[in-house]
Amino acid sequence: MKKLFRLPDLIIILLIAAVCLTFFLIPKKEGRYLIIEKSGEEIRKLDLSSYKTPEKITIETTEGDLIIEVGENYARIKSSPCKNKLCVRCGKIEKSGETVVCLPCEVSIRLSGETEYDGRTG
Amino acid sequence: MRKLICLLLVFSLSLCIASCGSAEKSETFYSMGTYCSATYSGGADAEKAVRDTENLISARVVGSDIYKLNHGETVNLPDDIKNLLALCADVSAFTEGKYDVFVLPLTSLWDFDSEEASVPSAEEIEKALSDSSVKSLETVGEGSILKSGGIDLGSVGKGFGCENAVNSLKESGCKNCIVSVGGSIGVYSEGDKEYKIALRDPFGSQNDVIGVFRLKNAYVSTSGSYEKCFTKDGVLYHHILDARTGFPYESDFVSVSVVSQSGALSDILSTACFMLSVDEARKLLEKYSSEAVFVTKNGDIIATSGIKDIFSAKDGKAVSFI
Repeated sequence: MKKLFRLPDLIIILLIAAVCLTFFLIPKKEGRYLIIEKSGEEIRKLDLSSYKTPEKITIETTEGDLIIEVGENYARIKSSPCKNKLCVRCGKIEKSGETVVCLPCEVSIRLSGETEYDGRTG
Repeated sequence: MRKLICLLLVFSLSLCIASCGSAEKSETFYSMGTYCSATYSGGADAEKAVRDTENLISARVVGSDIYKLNHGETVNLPDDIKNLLALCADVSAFTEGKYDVFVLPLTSLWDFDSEEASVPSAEEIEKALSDSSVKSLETVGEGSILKSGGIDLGSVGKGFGCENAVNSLKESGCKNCIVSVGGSIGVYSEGDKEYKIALRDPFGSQNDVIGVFRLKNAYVSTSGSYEKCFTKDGVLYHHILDARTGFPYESDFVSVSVVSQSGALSDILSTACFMLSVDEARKLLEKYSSEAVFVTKNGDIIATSGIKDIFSAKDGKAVSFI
């Protein structure tokens, strides 16, 4: 009986199938992360589960040092060189997608994961 | 048979590659003095559109069209800026001058963006009001000139920038997107996708929510007395100035959110309606086919009737419809 495919054909077919599968099977990282951005660029991505005891992260900015406190289930801007301290008064973020921004320092902290909302106004 | 299998494989591969191109992209950046973000499937240049808008209309950007007007130069304004100024003038007339954009001497005096904001003296306010007396541009051939005073488009810039970003994404092939420039949000969706936009609780912190908008192709902007404000001797001074008196407007509302088909309109109307009664606001919104949610100083939620299908208050809080 004549073979359906010759060996070179089979190799190409397998290669293409492998490439296709890779797109669908790329593993997604689970877990909760704190994403720290400065001027829109991600500068740190911290796995919250590794912060059994809270720690302080110092971010240097043109305005001075901004301190972020990271715990197992939360994060917050502990102190900021900005005048208004609105970012500090925001307090803890605990839910996925929650964000705190310090505009003068152009620093934001955000918890990763599925968010309840696509955007916020007000 | 062999050809069919090959075709199927090439087709699958093409789909995989195509899905990469239309995968959702997200970016955050700072422009127009605020935190901006864009998430989109397909399309490009959201950030560029916002920055280009800032470079065109910000009074603080040296060389922008508005900066040049404010420094006595004759400027050939593009049509979209002329239209924007005409819209501002119409809304100003409706509010009997409470809302106005020819207020740079006043906004510079209060300077809520500064970290040293303080209450100006009565004499300083008088002078700023006098300096802001010219309320329109004069035409010189193809150009426009401002004889005195200055224009501050802070009450419309974010919504306008947001709109330009969404249009840029649409024109470059976007299937759906959400762009936020501060609290001005624009969404576009070709399919069934609806975007959930949280409305901040004016009495809570930044992440507290009082209600949710579900939008497909629309813009929402919010003006609130809790943003950009300071307290001195127990008195709250917020940034929404009554252009007739030079002082923050004493409103019945703490926040007004407007949903509109134009970003610029949602931004202008949220500011203007903050300075109107509920009834006057309803008429203004009707004129521009827009809807709104108002949160009063007492914590009551009032909304225009057309918003019923796209807004729901959290925790079963009552909404009165007008």
